[in-house]
Amino acid sequence: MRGADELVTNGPDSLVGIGVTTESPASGQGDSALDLSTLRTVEFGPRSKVKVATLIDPRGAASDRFRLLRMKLRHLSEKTGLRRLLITSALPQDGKTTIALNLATTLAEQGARKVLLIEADLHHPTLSDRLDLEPKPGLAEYLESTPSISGLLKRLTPAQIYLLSSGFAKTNPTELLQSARLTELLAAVNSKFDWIVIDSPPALPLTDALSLARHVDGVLLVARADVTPREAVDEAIQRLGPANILGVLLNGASNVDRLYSRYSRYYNR
Amino acid sequence: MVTAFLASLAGVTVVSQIRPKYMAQAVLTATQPVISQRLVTPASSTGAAEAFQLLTRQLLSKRRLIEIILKFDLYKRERLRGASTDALVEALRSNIEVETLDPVRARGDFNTFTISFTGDDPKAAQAVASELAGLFIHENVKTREAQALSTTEFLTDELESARTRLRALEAQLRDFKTKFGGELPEQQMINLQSMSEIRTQLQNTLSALAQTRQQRGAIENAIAASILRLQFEKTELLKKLTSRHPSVLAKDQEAAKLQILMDWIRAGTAEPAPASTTPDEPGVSQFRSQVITTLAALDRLTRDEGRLTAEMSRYQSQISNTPVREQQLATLMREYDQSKQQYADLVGRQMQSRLASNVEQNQQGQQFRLVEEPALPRAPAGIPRSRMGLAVAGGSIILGLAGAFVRNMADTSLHTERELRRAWPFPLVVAIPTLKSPEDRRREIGGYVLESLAAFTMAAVVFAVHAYTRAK
Repeated sequence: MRGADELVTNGPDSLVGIGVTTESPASGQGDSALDLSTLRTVEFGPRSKVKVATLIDPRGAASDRFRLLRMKLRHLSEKTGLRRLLITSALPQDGKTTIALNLATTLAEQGARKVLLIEADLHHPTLSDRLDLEPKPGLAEYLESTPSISGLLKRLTPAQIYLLSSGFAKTNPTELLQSARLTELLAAVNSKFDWIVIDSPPALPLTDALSLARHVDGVLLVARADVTPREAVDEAIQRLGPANILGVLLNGASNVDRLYSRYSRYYNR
Repeated sequence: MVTAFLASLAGVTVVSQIRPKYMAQAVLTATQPVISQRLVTPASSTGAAEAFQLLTRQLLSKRRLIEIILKFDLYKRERLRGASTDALVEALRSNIEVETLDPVRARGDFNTFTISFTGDDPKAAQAVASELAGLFIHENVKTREAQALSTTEFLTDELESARTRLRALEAQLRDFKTKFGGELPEQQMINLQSMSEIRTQLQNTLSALAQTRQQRGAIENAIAASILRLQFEKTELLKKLTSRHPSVLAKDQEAAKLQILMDWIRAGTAEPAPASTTPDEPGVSQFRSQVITTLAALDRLTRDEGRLTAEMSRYQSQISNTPVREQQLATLMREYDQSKQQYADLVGRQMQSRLASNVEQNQQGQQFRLVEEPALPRAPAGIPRSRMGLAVAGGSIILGLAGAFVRNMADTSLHTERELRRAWPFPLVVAIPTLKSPEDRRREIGGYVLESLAAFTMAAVVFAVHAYTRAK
């Protein structure tokens, strides 16, 4: 069933069906001609369970922190050519998906930059459901057999980002994420986007994050304030390799909120 | 902090629900006997401390407590709720406190103590405390009187028994002395002397007896010689005369008489020989008188010997039985002496007990007296509820803080961006607050307002309940 807020807003090309291409699945040639303007646009509305800070409270503390993060990432990108980011955490329920969506939205700068968000948690995909989107084929189907990526991508408004949802894995998700098709995928989309943000499963219970880390320029580790034990974060850093870690994001930090509250009148006058 | 606040609020509420209790207290003291104990020993050996313990147990007995509950209509609410008798008794028992004011020392010179009762109603508390004090005093007097009387009765019974026993022993002793008159130890010397005298007499008798027996032999020989002489003279006469001649016949007659005497003396019997029909010849007559004398002496001496020998045996037997009798008499005397002593003791004790009973009946013995009557309590007993509430609230806050401290010590989670920077030197370390929409913020503020209102309402309820309870 299609989500109530999911709307097809683009032209005739958007009607190109999933898997209707005749290109070879292994060639990936069709993706070299990926035209982002032809992708379907879907909208998530007020019933969405995911909050995007820059949309719901653009002047809030959370929005400001994401802008700070964007600024730092840009700085790093200028120095190192950083473009592909992996968002993971040590343990489940730390807020990876929310952070990934918010980060992708902030990096998109309201459409000024092209940002692709890949939902790579094939074990427990939650993004589509939380965004109240109709379940559609995605990453899993591409890695299993679908020759073309264009039918699997969609443009997400009002976040102004591109989304490759997880889809429905028929085989072992860990095996899928270690296949060569993932390399092909990233190669296909690499030139089309300014930023690629991958939402990964947690690092400690699964090895998926390790597989995905090989395909990105840097890893951002999410920890939930007052919840995630320091030892778990340490263990995750050791597993992923300290050299691959760009930084740690502390999700749900209350002291930041208090700091911003104190000066909010001044900034928001 | 929330836990501490809620706990303190709950504690204050509970404290405010506690009903006020009123305590009334009577002070009693133990007085020493009016008459010196050196003159009249008390019938009751229990000291003040022991009496205090005994009376406390009596006072807190189930029967006594039920009487008090019924008399003062206590625990009406609990009885309406159907509380068991045991539960009511236990409740009353827990509300009564009997406490010494000065320490009970080893020798038991115990002085002052208090009896207090705590209840819901001040007047009832005063009345019950007064009743308890009165019971304590009266029970003590009754107990001491009863002890004195029962002691006297007991001693009277014992005295009667002792008297009977003593009389029986006296009779036994008398019978013994009668029965074993010559065998008693104090008669031993007399027995020995008597036996010595009898032995001497016996020796003399035996000696005389031997001489007399020699005389008898001599007489026999003389008679035999005379018979032979007469037979010779007869033979000579027959040569000249016939056997019918009077001279020959006279010789035969004399010889026959001598033969009779001979047979008599040989028989040795004291019976006299048959008398002769003719007058004795001079020779016969002389022998007859000698035989009679000798046989009489022999008879007398023989009887003396038998008598003396029997006496000797009797004395020997008495002397040999004396140690046995001595032992038997000693046992009897010991029992008798003990019984006599016991009887004398009992007589003395009975007299003492009668005196002690008189002392107790005149209430001049050791007693408990009321020093201070229980006053009507003006204020509830125990810690004031306001202080109790504050203590509970303070305790709860301290407990909450301690819990928070422990939790904080055990917490290894991350809290601030600064902690992250210190822990890992990554270029990107950013703390992101919880995402909140304006609607979330409004809801949050609404929640704060509601919580504050709830807290104020609860405080108001607690205050109102407290005020209502105080007013009541």
